[in-house]
Amino acid sequence: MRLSGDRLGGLLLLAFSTGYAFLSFDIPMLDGQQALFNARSMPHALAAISIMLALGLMLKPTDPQPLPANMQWYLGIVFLLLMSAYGWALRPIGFIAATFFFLAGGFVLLGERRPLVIGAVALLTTTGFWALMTQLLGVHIEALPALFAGIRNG
Amino acid sequence: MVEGLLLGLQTLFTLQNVAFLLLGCFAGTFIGMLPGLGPMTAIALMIPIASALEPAAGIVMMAAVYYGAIFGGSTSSILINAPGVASTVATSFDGYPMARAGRAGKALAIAAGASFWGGMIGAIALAVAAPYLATVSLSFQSTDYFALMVLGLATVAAFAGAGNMMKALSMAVLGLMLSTVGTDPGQGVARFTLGSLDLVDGISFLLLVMATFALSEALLSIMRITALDGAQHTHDELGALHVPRQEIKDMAAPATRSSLLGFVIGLLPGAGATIGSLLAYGAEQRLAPPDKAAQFGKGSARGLAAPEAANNAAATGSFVPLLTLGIPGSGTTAILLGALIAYGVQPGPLLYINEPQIFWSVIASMWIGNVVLLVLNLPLIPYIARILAVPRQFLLPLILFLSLIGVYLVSFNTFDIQMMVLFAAAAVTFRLLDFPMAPMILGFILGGMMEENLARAMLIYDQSWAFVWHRPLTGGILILTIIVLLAPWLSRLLQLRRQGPRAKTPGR
Repeated sequence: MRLSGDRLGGLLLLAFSTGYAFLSFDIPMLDGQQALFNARSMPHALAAISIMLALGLMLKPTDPQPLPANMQWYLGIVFLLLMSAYGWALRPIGFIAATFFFLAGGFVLLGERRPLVIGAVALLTTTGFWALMTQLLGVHIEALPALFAGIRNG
Repeated sequence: MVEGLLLGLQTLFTLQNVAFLLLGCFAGTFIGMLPGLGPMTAIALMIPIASALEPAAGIVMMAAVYYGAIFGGSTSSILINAPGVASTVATSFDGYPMARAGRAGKALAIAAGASFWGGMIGAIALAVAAPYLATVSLSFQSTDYFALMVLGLATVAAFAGAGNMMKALSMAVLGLMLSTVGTDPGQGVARFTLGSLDLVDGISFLLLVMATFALSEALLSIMRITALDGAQHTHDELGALHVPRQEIKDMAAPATRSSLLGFVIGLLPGAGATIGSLLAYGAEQRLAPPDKAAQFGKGSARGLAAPEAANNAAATGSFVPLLTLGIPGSGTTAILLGALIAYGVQPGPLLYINEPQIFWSVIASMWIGNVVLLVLNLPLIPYIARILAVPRQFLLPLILFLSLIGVYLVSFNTFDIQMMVLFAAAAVTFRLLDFPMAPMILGFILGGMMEENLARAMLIYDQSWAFVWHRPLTGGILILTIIVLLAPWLSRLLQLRRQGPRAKTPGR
């Protein structure tokens, strides 16, 4: 059995649907509501339909296309990690520093090699966005690391 | 209707609303011009800004972003043969050959004029049809709504084509499953929260849209960056924007026919602007005199005007089910519905009665938006088109940043950023495997409403499915759903039967 796009997609959906089906049995039931249309009804029906569709895709794929080639997978994965790191860093090191490093890292990963341009674009974007949100739209964003905010408040 | 339109114009014509209308048109054009970023991404990116505005201003801005993005998509189709959105694929058939022949300015002017015409005809049809439909839909009950939503999801899958129907259905069900995460609205119990407090309120709609459209699109561009680099050649000289009077006359009838066809196609759930524009292109090619038909695909003005008029009219038509029934018929209107609900505005027949100023201001904004696009955007196109020359190594990280921070600034919860990363990875995988994302978003947005309406129907009918045969309307819609789902299979079966004897001949 060749692993076409349909089959792999079906397999992923089957794995998700099976996990979803198992978890749907953990949904708490209220007393006296066992026979009624309850919180489990929709998830059970959806899990059953999804498993059937996933099996259909795996057993009778309509698209014989192989998996896509010539993709820079590593770059995609590195960017996912960079975004995740941005999420973790946003509070501890503050908006300005986290965003600056995120943008600069992104520019470098995509091939920009001029340090002055990287620094200038990242800094201008970061401070410009922060000023727009805080000064013009009135949305408070903690610019500095959480540590400094604690000292300032405390 | 005239009274309603006046109310809409009155609501719209405040300095603030007009400013946001202009901003929406420009931002939509700007984002829609970027290859791969369509109206869905454009609207999603603007939601964080819109959520800080009053409902009327926010909705008007998002509607303007929608037309602007379609207009912007046409620009990249014409200038670099890279449609920003599927609905402008047909635009590139004749627009790009015109641009290559040094008539890019004229092609852009025709596209803008035809879009304006399509948008205006669509808006007039919407203003006539929507109040009537809203009044009729007042008699709908929960059972009918449930059936209509099932029909909506089925048609989205059916229009994905026979080969993709199973994938589209799977994605719609995946969206429905994701919508069940969080507290069950009926009984108040937690479902699929995995013990996390961050999931008790469910998955944020904005988070899901941003991750599956904006983030995944940018990530896919990053992964294909070497292949794309060579393709971004804009035409430095656009040429004159002038279109001769005779050519305008020649295009008037095709553009009008295509607008009407586009509007009707736009009404159908799931069909939308892509199918509308392709159908209009095909129809006009068949209707054109032989000498004009031979020009199609080589830079025909008719071939450019038809899909442009149709896709704008279809975009307007897709607002009808959203405004009158509260049921989105496409991924884009699903995102708009999510934004409306976030405002506390529930589209549907009661919107027309309870909040006519919002209902009519959306319709009025379509008229004004189309005028803005024609009068202001067109002359600015040579300048806006320079965005296509912005180096991708700067543009793509900026899109990622704006998507992440847009969601973070709504919740101020870094857990949302990690969720986005997870959903973006899943979306990239599914998109690479050629699974459509729009049915998933539609399923997600309809999921809660479907469950609520079904629960109510079951309660009314004493926990039985009797409503299917007790209410002819519900039964009729569900039968139509089955027909819609079976239609692609049946047509393929008939096709195979016709080809049968030929297929059996040796050597084939």
